[in-house]
Amino acid sequence: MNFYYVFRRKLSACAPGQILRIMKLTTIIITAFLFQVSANTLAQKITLSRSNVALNQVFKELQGQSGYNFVYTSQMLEGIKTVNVKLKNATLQQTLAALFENQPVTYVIKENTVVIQRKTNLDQAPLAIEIKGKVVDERGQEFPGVSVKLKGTRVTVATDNNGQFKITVPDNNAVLVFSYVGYNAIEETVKQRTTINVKMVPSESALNDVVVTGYQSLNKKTLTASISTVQLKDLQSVYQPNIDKLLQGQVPGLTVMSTSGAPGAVPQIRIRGTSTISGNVQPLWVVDGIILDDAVNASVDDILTNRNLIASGIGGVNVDDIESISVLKDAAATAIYGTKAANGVIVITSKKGVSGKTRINYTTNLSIAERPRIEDAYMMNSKERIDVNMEMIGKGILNASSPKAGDYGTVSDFERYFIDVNDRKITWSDFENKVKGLEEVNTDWFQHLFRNAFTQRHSLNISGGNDRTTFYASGSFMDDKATAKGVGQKTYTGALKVNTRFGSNIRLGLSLDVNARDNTSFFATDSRENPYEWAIYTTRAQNAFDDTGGYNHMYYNSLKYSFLENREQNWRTSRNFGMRGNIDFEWKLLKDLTYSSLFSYAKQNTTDVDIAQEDSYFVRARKKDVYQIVNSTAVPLWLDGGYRKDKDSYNGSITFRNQLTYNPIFNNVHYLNLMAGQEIRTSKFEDQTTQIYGYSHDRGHQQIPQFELMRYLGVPYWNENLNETAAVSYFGVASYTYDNRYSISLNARTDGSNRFGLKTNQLFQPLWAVGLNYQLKEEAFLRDKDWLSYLTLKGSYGSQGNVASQAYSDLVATIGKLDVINKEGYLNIVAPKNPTLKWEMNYTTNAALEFGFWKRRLTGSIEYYNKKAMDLLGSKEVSQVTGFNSVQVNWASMRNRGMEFSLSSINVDSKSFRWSTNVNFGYNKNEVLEVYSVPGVNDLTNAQRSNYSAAAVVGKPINGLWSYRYAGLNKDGRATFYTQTEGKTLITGMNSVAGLAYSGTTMPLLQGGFTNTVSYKKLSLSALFIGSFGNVIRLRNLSQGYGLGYPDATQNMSKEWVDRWRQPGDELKTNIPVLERDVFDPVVFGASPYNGAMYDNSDLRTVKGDFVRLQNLSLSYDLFSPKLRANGIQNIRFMLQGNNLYTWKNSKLKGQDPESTGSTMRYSDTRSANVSFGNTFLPVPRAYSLSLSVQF
Amino acid sequence: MKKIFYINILAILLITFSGCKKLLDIKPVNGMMPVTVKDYESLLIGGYPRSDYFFNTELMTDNAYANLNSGNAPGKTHEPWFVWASSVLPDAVKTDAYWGNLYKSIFYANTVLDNFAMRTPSSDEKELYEKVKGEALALRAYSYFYLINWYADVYTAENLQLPGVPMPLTAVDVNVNTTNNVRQPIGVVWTQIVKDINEASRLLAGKSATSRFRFSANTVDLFKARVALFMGDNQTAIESATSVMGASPLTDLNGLQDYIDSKSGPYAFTYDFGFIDTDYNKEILFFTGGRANNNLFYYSAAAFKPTEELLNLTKRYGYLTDYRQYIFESWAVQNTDVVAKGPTMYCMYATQSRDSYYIGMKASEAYVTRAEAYARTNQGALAIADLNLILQKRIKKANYVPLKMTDFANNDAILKRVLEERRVETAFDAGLRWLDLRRFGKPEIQHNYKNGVIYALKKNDPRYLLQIPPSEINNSPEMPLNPR
Repeated sequence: MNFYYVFRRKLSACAPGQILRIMKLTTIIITAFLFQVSANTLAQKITLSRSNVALNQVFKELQGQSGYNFVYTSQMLEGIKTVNVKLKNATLQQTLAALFENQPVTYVIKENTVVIQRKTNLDQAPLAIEIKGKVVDERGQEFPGVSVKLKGTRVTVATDNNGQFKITVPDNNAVLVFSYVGYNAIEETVKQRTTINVKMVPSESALNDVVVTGYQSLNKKTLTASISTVQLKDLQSVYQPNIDKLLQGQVPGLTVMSTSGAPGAVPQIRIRGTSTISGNVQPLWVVDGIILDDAVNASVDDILTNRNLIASGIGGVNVDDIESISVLKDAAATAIYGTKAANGVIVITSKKGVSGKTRINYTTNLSIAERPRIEDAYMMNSKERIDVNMEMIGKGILNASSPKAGDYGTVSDFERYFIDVNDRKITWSDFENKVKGLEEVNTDWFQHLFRNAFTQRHSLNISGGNDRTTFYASGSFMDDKATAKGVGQKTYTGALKVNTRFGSNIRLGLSLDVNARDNTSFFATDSRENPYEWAIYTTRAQNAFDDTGGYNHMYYNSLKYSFLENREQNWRTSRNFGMRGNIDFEWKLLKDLTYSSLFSYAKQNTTDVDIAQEDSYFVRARKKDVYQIVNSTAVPLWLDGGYRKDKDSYNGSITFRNQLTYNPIFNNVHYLNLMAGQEIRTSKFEDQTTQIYGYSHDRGHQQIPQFELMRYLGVPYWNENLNETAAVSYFGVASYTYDNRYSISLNARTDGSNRFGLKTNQLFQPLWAVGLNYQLKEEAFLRDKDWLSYLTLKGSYGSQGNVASQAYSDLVATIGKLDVINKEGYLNIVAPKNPTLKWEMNYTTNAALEFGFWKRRLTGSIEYYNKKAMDLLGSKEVSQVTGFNSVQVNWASMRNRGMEFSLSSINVDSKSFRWSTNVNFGYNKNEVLEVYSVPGVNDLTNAQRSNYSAAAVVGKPINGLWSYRYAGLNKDGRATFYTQTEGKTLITGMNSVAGLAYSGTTMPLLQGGFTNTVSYKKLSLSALFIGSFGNVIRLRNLSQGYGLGYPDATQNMSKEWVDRWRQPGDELKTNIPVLERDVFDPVVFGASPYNGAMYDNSDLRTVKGDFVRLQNLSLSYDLFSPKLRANGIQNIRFMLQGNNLYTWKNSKLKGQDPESTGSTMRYSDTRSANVSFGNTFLPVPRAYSLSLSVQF
Repeated sequence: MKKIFYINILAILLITFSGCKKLLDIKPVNGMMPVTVKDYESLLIGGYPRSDYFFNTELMTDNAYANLNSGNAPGKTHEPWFVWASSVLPDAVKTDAYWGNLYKSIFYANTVLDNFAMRTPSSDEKELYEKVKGEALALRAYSYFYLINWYADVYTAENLQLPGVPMPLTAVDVNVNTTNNVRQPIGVVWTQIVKDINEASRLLAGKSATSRFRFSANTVDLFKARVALFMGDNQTAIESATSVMGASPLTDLNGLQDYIDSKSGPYAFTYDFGFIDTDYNKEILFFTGGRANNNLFYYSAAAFKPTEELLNLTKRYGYLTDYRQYIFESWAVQNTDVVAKGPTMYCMYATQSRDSYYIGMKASEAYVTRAEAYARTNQGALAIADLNLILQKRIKKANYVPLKMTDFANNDAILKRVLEERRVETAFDAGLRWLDLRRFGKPEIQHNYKNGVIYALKKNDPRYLLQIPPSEINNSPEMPLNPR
């Protein structure tokens, strides 16, 4: 983890686009280099012929000819006569003797330096003091590349790789200036010393003074936009290989909700709330200026539920290659990204090479994630579950299905014994004994399906180069294992970056990134295949293994079934390979005019293979269910082999961008920055799906074609999806700063996309933003106030447009699905002519106050924003006379308003002890302003919102959740609900919106993070808490949406059912209803919404989602010593950390995680052989890790 | 240096201005923009209904009864039809599949017609252009015919000004019809139907038929005969039907005997072989409405079944004298499974294997249409001659006795006989029974249902009109609803 640290100085110097800094640094390096070169040139013969020239002019020429450095100050040369020399093939000594004749100065030669001395004291021999020393950074580590300058001269040297320097000065009054970009300059007067050791301290302001937008690097002092930047070096105490999760609790206004603990799962990320509900609701990820496409073209639904694990583009980026992450929040920041940026932009700036000695950094991380435990899930134990079965037997309704004697339907051991009793296979006393045994079984399925998962990660990077060319190379490998057995992902990344200069004004950068991911997961057809769901929802009164040690089977639809066994027979593997190549070119045409060009090509290939072998339940069930009746006998259609589904996705994109920047300064107070550019971007998604029936994995991966089956299913076994997009954009930025105090900026962009085409005047839609920045500290009345480091007031206003990818204004048709009866090809209209369709527009106002006090010991910012989204695009139910049930319309407008707050303080900063605190949070309130559609009870009460246009209510948040109002259990133990009519309650069919209660929003209103870091000498301890407040969560469903009935034989039940209503009078004590004998009883199933759905979606089942999580606790120790360094090891860092250690949450949540709100138990019909990506939900585990990082 | 710079700038400009226009033409997601006449032909084929838009109306007729002894519960979605509920849609369902399906076809037809109105076909395209345009007009008329019959009152002189259905004739902007649609008067809609048919008939005349899933000159004629009959224009009905009869002879069902004998049992038409899979298939001129195999009567012990009254019409000349008995007979063995199965079944379609669309039009409709038109215009002899044309092909050779004028007391008796023949011949085809019941003066019908409740549709009951769906009520709040 010390990784960031090694690169810190290189990074801060060479972040892309930080041209100014690079230039500064390069100058320094070049200067130092030149001196070294000249020093090595041995004394040559000198030929000089000058008359009446100043002595310093001669020195310059001599320096060139002799290779000796001349050390002097301008004061020294005061009153010196001009000289006349005419020498040929003279030695240096001869030359100098000639020059210094009768002058008030003398000289001394020391090594390769000629030190000029004033003849102040003729008694004393002229001095030439050689100063040696060592520069270290704030941590005491050797600091190479620091420039050491003799004040008042051009003499400069740089520290070597060991931080050592050597410089010759003329006298004891000489002053040395130590400087390095991003560090405070230090001046030291020689004062009789020959050794000067210096410790450099980073200048807080300098570290953050440049903000990267992906298109530009802007000075923070003139920045008008709202951009939060996280330096990865500040997060070195958090080991988290996923960037998106790493950002949790770090940026105010950025909401991160983990959806799953599966490796590679994508969390939901929102920047300042939901601003569009059409198209992709995730922010745009940008790496080094280039938009990162996801590997698989995932739809909104995939994101709202759980998408393909390997789908995210960001998953292929190595965190160790990142220098900083900027979150672009307001219009002034994102306008330049155009239409794709309506949900905000996250810009990643990667590390680049630094010249100097080649540096190597190696980091390894080992972590262990704890397996989930059944005790945390709040489910029934064996005894409690058997008790329900006995109750059913008592009532004569045990749902033990047996198609005929000796056969079992869907049964667990208990039901099997019960059927055996009925079939007279065993006696009642046998049965009672066996049941007694089962009551003690208490199988913890987690124990069999999960493990304490061991994950390892190795990362290596090398950087170096000379003043013209630098390189950076890195590679990493991670074997990430999930707590679920057999689920894991291996990620490989590699990066190579080269930067080089031609002449003095051209720079060329090349970079190549490759990444590969291999993911192994479970075959997902329905929740029955998901080990987590299975472990929770399967009865514990069932042995996992039988007496002989073999798998103990239960029965599903009369088929023998063991989840453990089945896990071995079907699986899913995904492979992804991606590469990105960038060329960036920069040409300084004139002093203030720069032309830059960027070309990028990215390509990703993803292969998903789902395999179900012949013996898997999936295949066996379909073999049984799919048959044909010929002459009154059932003839099976699937005779041999298993099933395999392949999905190949390809995604490629090209970006070509050209920019001209003009940034002159007039009269030192007028600073102008003009940039204009043009960009072309095309991207293509392509995927093909093939389904193979009769696949035989064991027999050499062959197909035994099941033509009869395929014909019966009547769907093609191959299909393709294509999606090509293209955009041509023009953009420009103009900003003007007066006297470092007042800045004004204007951004504009116009995008032409192939999406909207009907109205040519809307082909290009301009987006714009204006912003202001006011530096109060620069005002006369504050300039001298020491307590104030800076005070900035800024604001912006702008508009952004968004086009939903599925919205067309012209007629678009697709080729219709093959009809097996009417085989003539046909077209379906997917989009009618819809000429009034408008772009969705966002209008954002942003105001911020940023402050720093007491030499930045306390810094922070307060920000306010108001984001109005007009003409939201969405699908709306319309009159069917249109020919459609719903069409894309601009159906609503809404507002996101909020505050963001961040504060960092250094509470104690003594020589060996340092304590710092960082707190940040964002508050966002969403409100629907207008809506042109009618809401319905089903959509309003559905916490897993998908049909937004039927669930939006003016004045309430877009993610607002409504609940049926629970009115208590009636005397029969059934849940009743209030209606819109006072005093009237219903058991079923409460279908009036007026009868609902508003419960709150499902998106947190307030989210934040709180970090404390304490370091003592080489030891440091850091704790990160994250918190989320203001949202509501639905408790786990107790029904399947119909009635609250007895469960399937094999299912476990929530422990809540232990307190269920059993006899009259219980309604006074409990809120858990009676278990229905018949869920289709008209009393509970009479009218929609049914009793079960109403109960699950009632205010009784709605709880506050507030939580605080101890996300990370880490302890690290740095080990370095002169002995180690002598052996080439600069530093070794050990770190021990715990992730997701404890969560303070609502006690009503019981076994539920406040973040993972997904997960509804669902069974699907086995007859349709349709493999979905399924519910990939796995809980985020508690994990402990140990890291070791070595720098050479 | 300067030169290179300018070349560079020039290159950028070139790329920008030449490249972008073409770039932005990239085709949309998985789709295409129809361009050619051929594309529009494919589009029109997409407009033909591929899911049911009439079959549930059979539940409202006297052709269906509920077999409450069956182990299969009546489908929740079918129940409201059978009891003539004030709305046939299940609870909380806003959209009406029939209404939506028919307007979808109209939208496709209008899309084609809009485009064709602006297009002048080249000489080699002209044939296809006219064919597609003719089909589009026919499809539009056909869809409006069902809409006006399901959702508005019958065509009579007094009803012409009553509310019909919304009638978009263009698809240039989908937003025009999203809200506040207006029901055009009944007369206006029928006039448009006739206008479209006549134009379609003109365009399709002389062009060969492509498939029985699409309109042809022949089927447009048959449809024209149907519409004329419904509007009381008997002369046109006779002319058009005559034209169809000339082109489409009936199949002699005596040819089925060998197959029936080979099966040596009553289950000749079940499971994987339906009545339609015989030579009878040749009589079907237009298939529509999607896969019919799993129609609501398809189980042998389905909850809803054809009435025994209908079955008995096939037995008027004795047991197994009329081949059409095979369509409706369940062959349930007395005292064992007759209770669960009931006496009737609908064996037109195989329940599996041999897939088929629903029957939209078949040749015999022309015969019964002309017979009816003759009967209604007091040309009894001609009507009887047409009946004999049918019976001759339906009745076992040995049992066939041609009908004579003397068999009937008067013209009304002839008409009654013609309508009975029409009922059995067109049962469960194209929703014709419900359409006919409306046309015949909306007689009273009774249905026995659960717990011995008898539901009744009174004579002239307002429920002879389906209700406007909730999606329309939500979006067109001013639209008058049908009385209840």
